[in-house]
Amino acid sequence: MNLKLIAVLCVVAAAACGQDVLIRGGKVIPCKGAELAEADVLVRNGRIEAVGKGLTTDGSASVVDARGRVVMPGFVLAHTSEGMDRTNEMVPVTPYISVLDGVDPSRPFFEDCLRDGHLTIALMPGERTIIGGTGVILRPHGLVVEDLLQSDNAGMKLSLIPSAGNRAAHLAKLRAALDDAKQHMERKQAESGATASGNVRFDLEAFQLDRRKRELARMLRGEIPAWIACGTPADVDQALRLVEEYKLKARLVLGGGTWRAFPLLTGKNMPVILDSEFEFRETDPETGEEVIRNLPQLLKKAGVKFAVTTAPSSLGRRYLWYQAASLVRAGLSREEALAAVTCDAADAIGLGARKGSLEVGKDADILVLTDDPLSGRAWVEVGIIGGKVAYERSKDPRLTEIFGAGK
Amino acid sequence: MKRTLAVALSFVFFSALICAQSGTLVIRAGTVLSVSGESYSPGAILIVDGRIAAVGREVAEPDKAQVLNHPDAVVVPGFIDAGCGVGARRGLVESQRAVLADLRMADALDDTDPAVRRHLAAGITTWMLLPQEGNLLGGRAAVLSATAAGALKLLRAEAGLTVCLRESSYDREREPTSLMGALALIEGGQVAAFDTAAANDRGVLLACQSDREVAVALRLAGRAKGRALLFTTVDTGDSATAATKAFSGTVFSPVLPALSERHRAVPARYAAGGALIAFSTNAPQSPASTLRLSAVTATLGGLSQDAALRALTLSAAELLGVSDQVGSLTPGKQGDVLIFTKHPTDSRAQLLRVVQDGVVVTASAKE
Amino acid sequence: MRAMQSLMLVLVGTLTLSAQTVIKAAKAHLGDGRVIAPAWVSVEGGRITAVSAESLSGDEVIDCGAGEITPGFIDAWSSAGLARGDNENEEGREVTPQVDVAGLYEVRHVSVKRRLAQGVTSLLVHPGTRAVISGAAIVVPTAVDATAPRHEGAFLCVTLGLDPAMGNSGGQGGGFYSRRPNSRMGVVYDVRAAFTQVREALKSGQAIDATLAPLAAALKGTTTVIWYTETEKEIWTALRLIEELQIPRNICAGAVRASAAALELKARGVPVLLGEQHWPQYAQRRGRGGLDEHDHDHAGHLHEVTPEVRARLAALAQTGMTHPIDTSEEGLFDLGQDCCMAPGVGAGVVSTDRNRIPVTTQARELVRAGVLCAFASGGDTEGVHLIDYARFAVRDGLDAARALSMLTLEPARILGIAANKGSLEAGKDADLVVFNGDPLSPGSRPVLVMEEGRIVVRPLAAKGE
Repeated sequence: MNLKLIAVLCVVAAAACGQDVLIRGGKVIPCKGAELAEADVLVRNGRIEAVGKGLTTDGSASVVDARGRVVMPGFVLAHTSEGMDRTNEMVPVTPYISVLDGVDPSRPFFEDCLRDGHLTIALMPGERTIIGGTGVILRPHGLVVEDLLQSDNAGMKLSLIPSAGNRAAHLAKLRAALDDAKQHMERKQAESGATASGNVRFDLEAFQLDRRKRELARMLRGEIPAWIACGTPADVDQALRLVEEYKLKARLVLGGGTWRAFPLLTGKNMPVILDSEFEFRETDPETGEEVIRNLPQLLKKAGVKFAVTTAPSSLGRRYLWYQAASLVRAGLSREEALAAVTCDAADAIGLGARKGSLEVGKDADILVLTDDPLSGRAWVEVGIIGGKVAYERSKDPRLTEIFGAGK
Repeated sequence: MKRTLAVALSFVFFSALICAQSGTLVIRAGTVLSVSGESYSPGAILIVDGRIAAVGREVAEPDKAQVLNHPDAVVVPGFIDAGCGVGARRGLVESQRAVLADLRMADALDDTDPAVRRHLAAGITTWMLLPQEGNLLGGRAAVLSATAAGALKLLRAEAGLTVCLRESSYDREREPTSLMGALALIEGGQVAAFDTAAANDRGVLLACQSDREVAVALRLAGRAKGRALLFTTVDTGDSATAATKAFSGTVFSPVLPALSERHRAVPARYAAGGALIAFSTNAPQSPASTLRLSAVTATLGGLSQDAALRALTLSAAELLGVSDQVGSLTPGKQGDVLIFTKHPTDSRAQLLRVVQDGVVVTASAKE
Repeated sequence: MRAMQSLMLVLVGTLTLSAQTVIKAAKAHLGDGRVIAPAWVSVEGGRITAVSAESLSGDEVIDCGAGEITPGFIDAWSSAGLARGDNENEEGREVTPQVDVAGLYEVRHVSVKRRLAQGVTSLLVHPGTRAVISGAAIVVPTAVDATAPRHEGAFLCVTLGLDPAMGNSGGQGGGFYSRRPNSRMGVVYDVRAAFTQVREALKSGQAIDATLAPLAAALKGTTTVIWYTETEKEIWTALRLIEELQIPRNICAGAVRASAAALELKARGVPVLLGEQHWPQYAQRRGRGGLDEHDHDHAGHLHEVTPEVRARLAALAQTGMTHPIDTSEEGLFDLGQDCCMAPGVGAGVVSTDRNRIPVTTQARELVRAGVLCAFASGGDTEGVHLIDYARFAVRDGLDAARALSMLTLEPARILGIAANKGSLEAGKDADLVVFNGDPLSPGSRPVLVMEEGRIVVRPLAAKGE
């Protein structure tokens, strides 16, 4: 019956990029700053031009009527390995591969991201290899990967989760690869006689670096961050040592098992991305009882800001709005919960300046929702990416197929 | 039939041998723990022709009696291992069918098994020989004693039908493939041997390793009119209350000190209210020394020293149906006596001597 | 460290509440669709003695503040309390009606404790689906250690579809698994043969083998048959068999696209249990995210191959930036298939298999058609909270009260235990859950679970977090 309202809803598809879009009269949740009732958001040249009440525009702007709706920034999915066919090579050290070559835009994953409002996606290699390759940041709209691409400098994926169970061997291999790249870089620099210009990309060309080591060198010179996956508290400890030792710019991707190491992260100001399951279950060896660790609370207690991820095969956890609601269920405030899927998530993937909130000057990645994002009943009515209407629920053939037209 | 005869013959032969060797033995010690009744400090035991003749603060010392004086030692009855594979060579498990009720352990005795001597050296003078695991109905157990010469004698040829509910019984290539199927098979009356065994005094021996399996064993025990013994591990602590009511007694797989507090406390929970418990070694998988170690560990979990000693001796004898012959220092019973430096449930205690059928079979290096 | 476990659930265990206890909350969802606010529920002797929007007095009053009360949830199709793996199934034979999970259910099992923490106070526990007639299911409480389950033997589980054939090899190789059935029709044959044999015996007054007695009970209607129906194809089969064998009492447990059979289910009065449990296997069995011929029937997508796109792709192909693309008409058609008609996803839920209509949407369709249905968790013991099914059903357009009743009164009716369970009503068992807010909001969680008058779960968080 809700759907009947859609017919009333007036949505004019934005034709050209340059056209202004005015989203009028919705409840605006900017995710930074106070929520505004019945406010407008003006979009110009793909960016947010203004947020406030009673905004006007010339007649050429397309207007999205958001009265009775909720307007908020697009969700930011801070880490995933979906949307590709294989998430890892079989060889343990593959810094030279890029997920860019593995993205399959026809995967239903991207369609779902669009439908669910996940408008920024950090797509990284999986966790089964020591050095997995580089990742990208995508938007879920387009036919070929170039359309989707937002940034191909997302970073290098490292995994400290030992694949064969031998931590010492795992770390030895990782260090060997890092040392090797470092020495190679230094040697090439000496051979070429060039001095570092400060322009990393140019330098690497000048040094004639082995292609297979180039991306690793970029990581070691701090141009791209290292995304370090950790499964146990010891992994976190090791990650921090590596960051110190190799002067890495790092992001931590944490599994629930790492909770004992959360206090180590206090004051480190290191971006943290939490696995999709917020309750970590362990068996107390003495009592045999299952103990549940409330991960969001534990991170909060350690003073660590974090982003969260999804699990696409789960009933609820595949939605970032559900994940945010789960954070509330875990005892976080509404603001903290929403931040973990918007602005904090954008910060965590290094796009805080462009994404994650409705602030003037930021990318116009905007959602119009049918209801409050934490209500559990919200659908994305309109999804705007870079100032263009990329999704309209009323024109979603899949929903029509399931719910029938006009219902 | 031939084998039975052979065993019987060897029994006669070794009995004769022992009689020749044994004569009269007097043991005097700082403490004599008879287990069945009183304890004496100091105390003495008289063993004549392999049987205990008298126990007390002092006993009459006949002429030519061999005398052992251990003024600081503690004397206890020989230990009983309530479940192991000692005395029959293993590896002969039949796997075509899961129901092998007619297999008798008494037919499979083999006194050349080196584990017999190792058992004796650890003070285990009597034990229950169980069929090897791997079948739902594995056969019928026997209770054995070693002779002083290291040979075997049968105390009970039919000591119960083993029903193994543990995972090892469910081969995916035959029926039943699951615990559920096993229960249905037995409750459906399709295994006549179970009902026969459950109705008579030989009883059924139900082996489990999880609370779930114990729950099934409880149902099956309800079907048994005769004795039903539970063989289990310390992983089944939650079933203690229900199990002590339903079973004649409980036998534990080795209880080792590395276990958690919770697990170590399980034998005590089963023994609460005076229910019978005993320990087993599962030898040859575990060494013979695990029997006493189990008792020591159980005392760390709250079992009293007396109860632990009883579990090693008289309780085990009662569970195995041989308490008329072994299990305590009572006149008339087999002269199986152990001499320890301290109470055997004290982990520091050392075994000084093992007396089997009134004959000293081992002596510690100290002497 | 301990203090950090703010969500750790404490099993208060057998804390018996003396005399009359009153639970006070902001709202109570009674399970039958009615809602009262504020709400007082008084409990005595394990039963509800009164439910009122007016103040009730008692010896002890538990004030749940802004909390909301619902009846304890009933998980009507689950394998909780059974060991994983072999113990869920007996595979020695195909027809094992004598098998009974009653001896296997373990109330202390962690899977049961997890359900309890979610607010589930009654469970139907079924044997696995690897046998054609897999045995008896039982309805049991989740906290009370009932060594003798109270509704034992009332349900007989029959598996349709391919599960019982899995692993069987039809070849001449010999061995345990070289046997029938090997196909869906083989499975159906075994069901028909077993029931027919018993029916003939009943007619002619012959004695029936004890192991087949449950089949006789099913034919007489003293036992309800639960048909495990993996897809709507199996529902059709079940309905045919029900008709043919004249089985009076039936339930269909879950199906992908059950709503396709809504009218027939309604016509024969067969209720449906909906859950996610059947799907993982379903996905594995078909390649590539569940693409089958059905998918190709449904074109139409968020992207369209417009002339511009076509030109663009051709240009891309020339630059060699992507994989070689055939730009001929035929090639583009293939590309179109890949890019534009790839298997997608249903709206509300779960998978990458587009032909699965989400359970929550199915629920709406089935309810519309007047079919009695309930949500159930199936094999899942980890991620999914039962209440989430109701939450998503509401998002998909089902009425909120109805969605909640699909976890409470509807399953109670389906399982025939509505006299004691399923709603907050004087005289019924005091099984209830208190949420810290609207139970249908995903931000709410259970803060108190009462089963038969005893508080069995009370998260620490409830004690002044």
